[in-house]
Parts: sequence; structure tokens; C-alpha cells
Amino acid sequence: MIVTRLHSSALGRRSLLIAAAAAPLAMPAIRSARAASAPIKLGFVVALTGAFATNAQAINFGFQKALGEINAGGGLLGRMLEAITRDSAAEPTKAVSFTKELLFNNDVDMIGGPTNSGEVLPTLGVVTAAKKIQIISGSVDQLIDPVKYPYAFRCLNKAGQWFTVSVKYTLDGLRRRKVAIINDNSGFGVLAMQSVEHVLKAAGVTPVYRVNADIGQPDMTDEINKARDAGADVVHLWSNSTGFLARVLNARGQQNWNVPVIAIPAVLQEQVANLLTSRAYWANVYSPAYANSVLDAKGNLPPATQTFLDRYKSEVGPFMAAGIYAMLQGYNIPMIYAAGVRKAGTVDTVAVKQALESIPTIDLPYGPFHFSPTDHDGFPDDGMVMVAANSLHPNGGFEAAPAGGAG
Amino acid sequence: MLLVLISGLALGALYGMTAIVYNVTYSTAKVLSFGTGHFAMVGGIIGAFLILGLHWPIWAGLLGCLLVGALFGYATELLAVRRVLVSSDQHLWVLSTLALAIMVQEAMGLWWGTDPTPFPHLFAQQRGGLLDQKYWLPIIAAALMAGGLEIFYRHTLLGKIFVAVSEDDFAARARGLDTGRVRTLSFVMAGTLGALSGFAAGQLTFADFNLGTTLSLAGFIAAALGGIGSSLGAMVGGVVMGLLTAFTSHFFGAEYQKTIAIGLLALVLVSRPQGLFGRPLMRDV
Repeated sequence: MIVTRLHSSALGRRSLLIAAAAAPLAMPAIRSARAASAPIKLGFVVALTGAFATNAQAINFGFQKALGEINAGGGLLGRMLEAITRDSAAEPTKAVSFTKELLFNNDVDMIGGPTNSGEVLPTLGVVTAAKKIQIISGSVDQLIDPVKYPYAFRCLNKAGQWFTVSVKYTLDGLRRRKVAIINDNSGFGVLAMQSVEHVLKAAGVTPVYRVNADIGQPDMTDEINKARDAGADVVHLWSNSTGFLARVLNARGQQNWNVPVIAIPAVLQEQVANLLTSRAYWANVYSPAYANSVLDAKGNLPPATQTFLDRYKSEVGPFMAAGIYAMLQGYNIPMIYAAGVRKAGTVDTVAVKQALESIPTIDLPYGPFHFSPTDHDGFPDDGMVMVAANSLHPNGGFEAAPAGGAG
Repeated sequence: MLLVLISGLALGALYGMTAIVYNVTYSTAKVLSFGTGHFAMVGGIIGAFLILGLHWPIWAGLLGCLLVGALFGYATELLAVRRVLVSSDQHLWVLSTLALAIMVQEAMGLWWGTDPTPFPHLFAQQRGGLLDQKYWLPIIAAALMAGGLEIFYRHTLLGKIFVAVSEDDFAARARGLDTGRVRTLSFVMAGTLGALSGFAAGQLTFADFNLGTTLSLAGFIAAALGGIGSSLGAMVGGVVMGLLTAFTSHFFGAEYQKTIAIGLLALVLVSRPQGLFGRPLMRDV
């Protein structure tokens, strides 16, 4: 009995020694096996509260739906996707803190967002240093730079495309050249002023009136009258604030000045119409929008957009006010990342980056994206179409703007 | 030009009302509540909610809005002022009132949403321009508020108690007045008047959760310009601020309106620190 016990004890020690010697060799394999089955983590920084929250909530809806669809299809590389969402409240400092938390505490594989340009800018350096893919949802042109921020890609148009398409419509469609620009004094408003002036200058046009008014200015009548006195025959209006947009349109309407207005896509939102003293003030207002939301001659939305809306028809209601494109914009983030991972066959950042740069076209309901080593914007100019603001149909689509405006 | 004038007057009236509300609490508690502009924000949003959301008649919406304003004022005194005044001689109420105001602002943003929403027209009106009610309502409300407060302070017993506490808190207490209750009442009154200002100017500002901070600052500048503690000064300070903002924007461009308006304020305060209507500080030696 004792002998047996000693014998087994000797065997146990030997096994233990062998196991101890083999453990360090086996650990990477165990870790690798665990990693291969662990979820792929997507960090998402989105301003669910604070300024522009309506838009961000629609973006978040699209993001979560795309994630659900990918997981329902078996995930990526046999791994499920897991979103870790943080509400930045539209504050750049919070956006940076949450981005760091996601990168260094949660060890995410990529960052989606932030969803406002002002928040994106300070996070770019952090994500680049951490060497992770970032799919941003800010439109300011300067945010994308494949040399400075090699892992950052954009999931929407860049603002410059709004200005190019808008100025083209102003000069060629409306045939107006006496342009007044009324912007707010936010960072976007100031930048938009420079950009629109730049595009106009390239076409040989100098604005007859320009102003960056206080974003909280409660009455814009004076600015409208000054633009009219300067001889303007078209007004450009660039502000992310729905209140600011509505005040300018109210002042224009109350002064009985039916000048065409070219404005940021936010002007298409129902919230702006609700703030107007009369819904008639929404007439003769045009905006660059997206082919994904433009109706055909029969009043139908593009098939991919309609499919998205049909799939989630019981849930999209609260987000329609922000526009279909906001939901589709959020939908782009996981989908673009997924396209890169599938092509790369790994979540390795450099491999995914190179994969995204080499995919000929990523076709999404928002529109086609084509990235290259020198272009991480991806969205084509012809994905944008000028529409009339008051042409919003119950299905969320818009009619393309008439060539000569409303007269 | 007349439109610039009337628009500046309307804006000035709103600033003036906010400055008056500052004075109401300052007079009894020597506290400048930095949530003063938030009373107006709450008034605008609650008014829009009751009238447009719940379809209450306008008079009921106004009453509901004033009631919520009064409760907010009471909560400010209870949560952000009372204990701070008891436990510290420092001006920590700056932080506590601001903190409460920010909490209320964020709560309103979560509940009401962060986009401005329409405020109802209080009277049927076809024509806009100079006669637009969005200009006249805040001007009339400001005049009524300033006049009403003068009558309250000069011709009512409660008003005289307010003045007594304002002039010498210690002596008032020695006379048996419950100065704590007077202070509470002054915050209830401030909340009510602040909500009224937000209701009256709702068509000008929309129902916007972001309004409070802007108004708190503009109202404070107006109060400092007119002289803290003076109702007449508050109203004049507000009107000066409003007109300055409007005419600066008209003549020099909207880009410079705040720089010039606040720059001028700084000049006035350097040359006359007690403000236009304030009394210079006398110190016994």
C-alpha cells in the first residue's frame, strides 16, 4: 500500500515537472485560442446627449443595427462583435478621455466616432499613437490625412463636398452670382465661411455680404436686411444649430424676401421646420443631400435605403427626424470596418488599413466608398444631390432640386 | 433701423429681467445665484411643454410655468444656498448654485431634448415686423416686472420686510423677523419671475435647454453694469446691453458684438465700479 502510494506519488511529481516545463510553451497557444474565440471589440464614442444629440442618436441606431446584422451573419472571422459605447455629451475633453479608456482599459480593436468634428480632432492623435483603426463621423475636411493619421477613415462625405456641390448649384443651377453668406460663429461656421469663399473665388465670385453671427443671436432680421441691402440674390447659410437656421429663415420670411437659400443638410430636418413661424418659409431653400435619400420620378427611395427602412420599420420612427442619412451614416461604421477585416482575414490594424485601401468599392445603403492609400475620405461627389428642403415626403425622401430653383 | 432698435430693446428687456432676478436674491441673501438664467430656460421649456405638448390653455400654461419656476427657486435655496451660507463665509454659493443649475440644465436636455423647439404664439397675429409679439412681450413683461417690484418693495408689508432684511439683516433679526424664511421667499420669487421672463421671451429664444448659461452671463453683466442691488439699474443695464449688442452688430458686424459690448462694460466698471446706479461702498473707519 505504502509502495503503491510512493509509486503514484513519484509519478505525480514527474507529471507535475513535465507540466510545469511545458506550461510556458503552451500559454501562447492557449491565449491565441482564447483570442480567436473572444469577441472583436468596437469602441464607439458618440454624443448621445448634449448638442447635436438628435443626430447622434440616429447615428447610434444605425451603428447598433449594423453590428446586429454582422453578428446575426456569424460575426467576423468566426468571432462575434461587441460594442462598447461611450456618451461624449458633445464635449471634446470627454471624447478624448473615453477614447483613451476604450483603447487602454477596454483594449478595443477599433474606434468608431466621435460623431462631431470638434470631438474627432483631439482624438485622432491618441488613436494613431495606439495604432488602431478609427472610423470617424466628422465632416471637416482637415480631419482626414492619410500621412498624419494613417489609420483614420471617414464614414460620410467631407464638408468640402457640401460646399462644392452647393456652389455649383448656385452658379449653374440657380444662375445666381451675388452671394451673401450668413454663418454662425462656431468653429464650423468660421471654417465653412473660408471654404465657401474659397470655392466661390475659384469660380471668380466674391460674396457681396458675409457674416459670422453669434450662434445664440435671437433675431437675425438685421443680417437679412443687410444682405438684401448689399444686393444679394442668393443666401448661403452654414450652421449646425437648428435654432440659428430657423431664425435666419424666419427673418427672411418676415421681411418678405423670397431669395433662394442654400444651406447645410441640417436645414432638411423637421426640427427646423417646426421652429419656423410659417411653414411657407421653408420654400425656396435647398441643401446638398445624399443620393440615398432622393426620390425617383415615382416617389420611391433607392432600393438599398428602402430595404434598410423596411427591415427596421417598427424602430426607425424616432430617428427619422434626424434624416435617413444619419442612420445610414452610423450603419457605415461597423460595415466599413467589417469589409476591411474580412478582406484582411485578421484584425491586425496595418492589415485592415491596407485591406480598406485596396477594396475597389464598399457598397453600402449610404453610398459607395472607395478608399486608397492617399484618400481615406472615400465618398464620391456624385453621391451628393441638391434637394429642396420643403420636398420632404412621408417616407423620408426628398425631391431633387429643380435646375432653376423655385423662381 | 427701427427693427434694430426694437430687436435690441427686446433682447435688453430679457437681460434686464434676468438682472432683476439676480437682485431679488441678492437683496435678501447677498447671494448671486448663477442659476438665474436657468429659471428662464425652465420657464420657456415648461411653457412650451404645457401649451404645445399637453395642449393646456395659455393661462394655465403660464400658471404651470410660474409654479415650476417657484419650485426651482425654492430648490435652489434649499439645496444650493441654505447650508452653504450656514457652514461657510466663503462665496461657495457661486459653485453650489452653478452646480445645481448645470444639473437642471442636463436633466432638461435629457428630458426635453437638446434641439431648440418652438414656443407657442400667445396671441393670434398675422403681421410681423415692428409689431411682432416676440419683441413686445418681453418688453411689456420687463416693464411690468420692474414696476410691480417697485410697488411690492415700497407699498406692501412683505416688500418692506424684504427691504429691511436687505438693508440690515442683523437688525431685522433683532426685530424678530425670520430672515431665513424671507430668504427662502426671495428665491421662490426669483424662480417665479425668472420663469415669467423665459415665458415672455419664449418666441424670441425658442424653448432651448442651452439658454440658461448664456442668460446667466448676460444678466449678470447687465446687473453689474446697472449696479448690483438696484432694480432701475438692472433694467437700464439690460437695455444698454441689448441695444449695444444690436447696434454693434448693425454698424460693426456681428463678429464684434460681444467684444465691443463686454469691452465697454469693462470700461464702465473700471471707471465706475459700483455700476451706473449702484451706491459706492462706504467703509467705516
